[in-house]
Amino acid sequence: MTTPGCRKARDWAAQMFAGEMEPEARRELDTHLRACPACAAEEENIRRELSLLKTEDPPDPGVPYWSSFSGRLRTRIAAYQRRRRTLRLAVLAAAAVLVAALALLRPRHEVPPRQIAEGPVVERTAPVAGEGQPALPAPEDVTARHPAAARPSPARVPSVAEAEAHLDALLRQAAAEGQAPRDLEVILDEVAPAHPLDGADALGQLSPDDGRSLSEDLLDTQG
Amino acid sequence: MEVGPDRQDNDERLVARFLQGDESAFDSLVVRHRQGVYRLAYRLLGRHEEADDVAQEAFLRAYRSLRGFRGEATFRTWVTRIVINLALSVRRRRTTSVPLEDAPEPRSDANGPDTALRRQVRKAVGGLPPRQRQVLVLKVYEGMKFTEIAQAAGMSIGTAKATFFQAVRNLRARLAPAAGAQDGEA
Repeated sequence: MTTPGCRKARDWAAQMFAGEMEPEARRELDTHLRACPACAAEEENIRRELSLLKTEDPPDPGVPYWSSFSGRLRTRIAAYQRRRRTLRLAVLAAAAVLVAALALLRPRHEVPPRQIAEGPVVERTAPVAGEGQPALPAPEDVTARHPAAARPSPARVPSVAEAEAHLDALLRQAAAEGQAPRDLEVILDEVAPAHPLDGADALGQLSPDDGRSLSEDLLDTQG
Repeated sequence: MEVGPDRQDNDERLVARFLQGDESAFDSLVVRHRQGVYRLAYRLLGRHEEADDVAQEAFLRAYRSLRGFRGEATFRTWVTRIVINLALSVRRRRTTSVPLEDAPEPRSDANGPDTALRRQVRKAVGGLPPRQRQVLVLKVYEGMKFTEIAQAAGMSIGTAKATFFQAVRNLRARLAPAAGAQDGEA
């Protein structure tokens, strides 16, 4: 008959096989096994079966496989590095376009709002035309004295190298502030993995959608 | 080109060298661990093609993430965790399940005296739930301690132990008739 002591002993038998058993538990197990032939037989079965597993090796894929392993891995790494460079350039180009678009959308003049509402100060203090003073300048002349009011701000689009330097500075700043300086490419890889396995989080838990590439998701949504 | 493992260097030193820009140190890490990584993937998946893909991908991920490796676990445990997660992902993506017992015969048991029982054991292991199978593989094949299994499989030490005991119980329940028959033959 199986008793609670027997159940404990059978767990302990596995633990003993695992090689991580407290000496006190080991003594208690030995005592139980001496008194309980059923558990002793069970312990022997566990030991034999796990030993069979332990001696099994998967089929060796052979010398050609192992000799090509590192080369194939290097090819994958090179492909990853190419993809990483391409992604970096794409992100920087997109950032440059965004900066340019923002610059074009800025207000077209920089005259303070109060002046816009009330007109230039010079107009209020200037003598009335026809009193020997020159006439008020034509609107064109006003804009000539305030070039910013006449044309968009000459915001310069940063070069790719400047944008990249700025990005690196931000990453360094994030690191200095104690934040994890996540690599932009890593973030992008997570968003759009190129390899089907890229969806799996290498170090953390897997979400239900992990392991699917972006292209697979797109195909699914398109039916 | 294959780079022979530098036996003088341990993994920690190789990682440090790689972080200082020595790419050959990573090659040495690969040569040192590739067989273990492949075997673990094979034991978890039972197919050469999948095991190869997981092994390659695991090293690629290690290459990508090594800058974030803080040395809280050993390199081996860290890579093991990558392999486990990738293997889980592969299993989830499978449209058809391939039981372990359908995999090619491991080389050690072709003509052994326990061939029938060995096949039964392998079949029983293949039928275990994934987590139990993982822990059993890590414990029995890889010889890991429960603390290492906990780190590699992302669980507590208590859960690792409990999962191992469940796996053994489950294995025993599945093998009881086979073991009885074997005993009867003996």
